[in-house]
Amino acid sequence: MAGEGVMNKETFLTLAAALGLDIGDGHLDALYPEVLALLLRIEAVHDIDASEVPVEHAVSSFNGSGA
Amino acid sequence: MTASTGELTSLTVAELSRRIKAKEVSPVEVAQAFAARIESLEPRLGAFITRMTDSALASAKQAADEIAGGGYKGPLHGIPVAVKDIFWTAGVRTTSGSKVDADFVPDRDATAVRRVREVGAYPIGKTNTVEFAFSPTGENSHYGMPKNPWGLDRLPGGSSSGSGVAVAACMAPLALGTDTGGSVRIPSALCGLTGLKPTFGLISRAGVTPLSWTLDTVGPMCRTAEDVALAMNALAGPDPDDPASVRSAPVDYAAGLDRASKLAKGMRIAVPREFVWDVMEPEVKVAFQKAMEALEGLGAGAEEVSIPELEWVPAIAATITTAEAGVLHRDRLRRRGADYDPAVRRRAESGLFIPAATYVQAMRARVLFARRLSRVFQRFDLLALPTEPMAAPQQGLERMQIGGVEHSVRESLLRLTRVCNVARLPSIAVPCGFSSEGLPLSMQLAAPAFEDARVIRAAHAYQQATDWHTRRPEIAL
Repeated sequence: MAGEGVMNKETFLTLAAALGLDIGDGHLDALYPEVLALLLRIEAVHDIDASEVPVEHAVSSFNGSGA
Repeated sequence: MTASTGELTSLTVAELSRRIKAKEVSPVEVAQAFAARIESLEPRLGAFITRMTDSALASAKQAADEIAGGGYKGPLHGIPVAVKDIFWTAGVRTTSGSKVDADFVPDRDATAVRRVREVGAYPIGKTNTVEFAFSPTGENSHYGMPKNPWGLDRLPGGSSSGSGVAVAACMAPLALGTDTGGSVRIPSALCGLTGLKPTFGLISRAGVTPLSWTLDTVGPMCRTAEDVALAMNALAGPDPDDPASVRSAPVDYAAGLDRASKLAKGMRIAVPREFVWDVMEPEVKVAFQKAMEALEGLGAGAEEVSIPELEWVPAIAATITTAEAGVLHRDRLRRRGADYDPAVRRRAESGLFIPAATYVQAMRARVLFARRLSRVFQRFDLLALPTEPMAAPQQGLERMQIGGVEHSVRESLLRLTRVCNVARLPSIAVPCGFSSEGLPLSMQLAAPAFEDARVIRAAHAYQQATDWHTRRPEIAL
C-alpha cells in the first residue's frame, strides 16, 4: 500500500489499540489508508528549517501576533 | 411574500439600521420579513438546523420597545443574526452539526452571541455546519447539505455552510461563522458574500465548539464590508473566558469608511508570485487581475512579490488542525465514534496518529511562516490573492479539473485561505466577479495582525468602485 513505509499496518493497529480505538471494528480498514495519506502529506513540515524558533515560543504563546 | 418583505430582506445591515433608527421601519417588521423569507426558502435551501422564530420575534418586540423609549443601542439594534450551530445558545440546542450533540442544550450563550445581544441584535436561527466544522465543502450527512443559492447543485462551501446560504438567500442580513482554515471565507466566496477572518484572538471563541485551539477564529459574514465593520464593533474585544483573547486598544472598525476611497490612494498591495497560481482557473485569475486594476484605479499600487514560504502552508495547517482535532475529539470518538459521519470520524482519528515531534515542528514552522510573511508587510500595506482557485464546485465530487489539471476538491478549497490562518492575520473575502457559469468569484485582502480595520476599509473602497457585492441570486429576488 502506498505510504506503508511511514507506518506499517501492525504498528498502526498497535497504536490504535493504545489510543483506545476499537481494533475489532472494520472501520480501521478504512482509517489506515487515510492515516498513511495524512502522514505522507505532512512529512514536508520536517523539511522546514525552523531552528530559529525556540520550542517554547511556538507552543506557549497565545499573543495573537503570530510571532 | 409581500413586496415590502422582499425589499426589507434585500437590504444590508447598514441600510436596515438607518431605517430602524429613523423609525421608517420597526424591528418587528424586520423580524417578520426575515421569518417569512426563511419560511419560504428554507425547504429548498436547508440553511438552518434550528429556527428561532418565536424568540426572534420576542427580541424584535423588545428592541422596538427600547427604541421607542429612547434607548437606541446602535447600528445592530433590531438586526437578526444567523448563528452557526457551533456557537452555544442558552436554552437552544447546539448540535455542532453532529448526531453526537443532537440533544445538547447549553445553559449559556457563547461570548460572541452574548455580545450581539448586548447591542440589540438577536439570533434568528442556528445554521447548518459541517460536523464539528471539520471540512471546507459544506457537506453534512446528519442534517443535509445546504444548497448554494447561486446553483442548487453546487457546494455552498464550509464549514459555515448554512451561514453563507442564509445571507446569500437574504434569510438574514448577517451571520456568525468560524474560520480555522477558511470556514468563513470559503462559503463567503462560493456564495458571493463579504466575510472576515479576523486577527487570531480578536474575537472570543468562548462557548464555541473548538476544532483547533491555536487556529480557530470567529468572524462575521455579510453582504458588504461596511456591514462587517458594524459587526466587528460588537464582536471584537477581550474576554477572560478565552485564553487566546488579546487585550488590544478599542477600535472603531466603521471609522474612516466614508473616506475609504481616499485612503486607498497610495496603498501598496503585494500579490504573491508563486504557489497561488499553480492551482487556478484562468477566469479566476482574470477576475482577480481586474480587481487589482480597480484598486489601482483608486490610486493603490499592486506589485508581484516572491513569498516561497507559501509552499509550507498546506503541511503546517494540516498537521496542526488534524492533531488538535484528534485530541479534542478523542474521548467522544471512543464513546460515540459510530455516531460520527464516517469521513469526519476518520479525519479526526487520523490526528491521533501524528507524532508529537511532528506537531511541535509544525508549530515552530507556523511561527516562522508568520515572521517571514510579516517581512512582506514592511514594504506593503496589504496582501491580495484570490479566495478560491475556482467557483463553487459541483456537489459530490472528490476531485475536479482546475486549470486543466485534476485536483482534490477539499485541498483546493483550503489552499489559499489557510495562508492567513497559519499566519494569524486578518483576511477579508470580497466578491470580485462571476464565472462563465454565473457563479461568484472572490478575492482576499489581508493585512498585518490587528490591522483588521485596514482590510475592511480597503474592501469598502473596492465595493464603492464595483457592484459585484450587490448582485443577488435569482432565488433571492
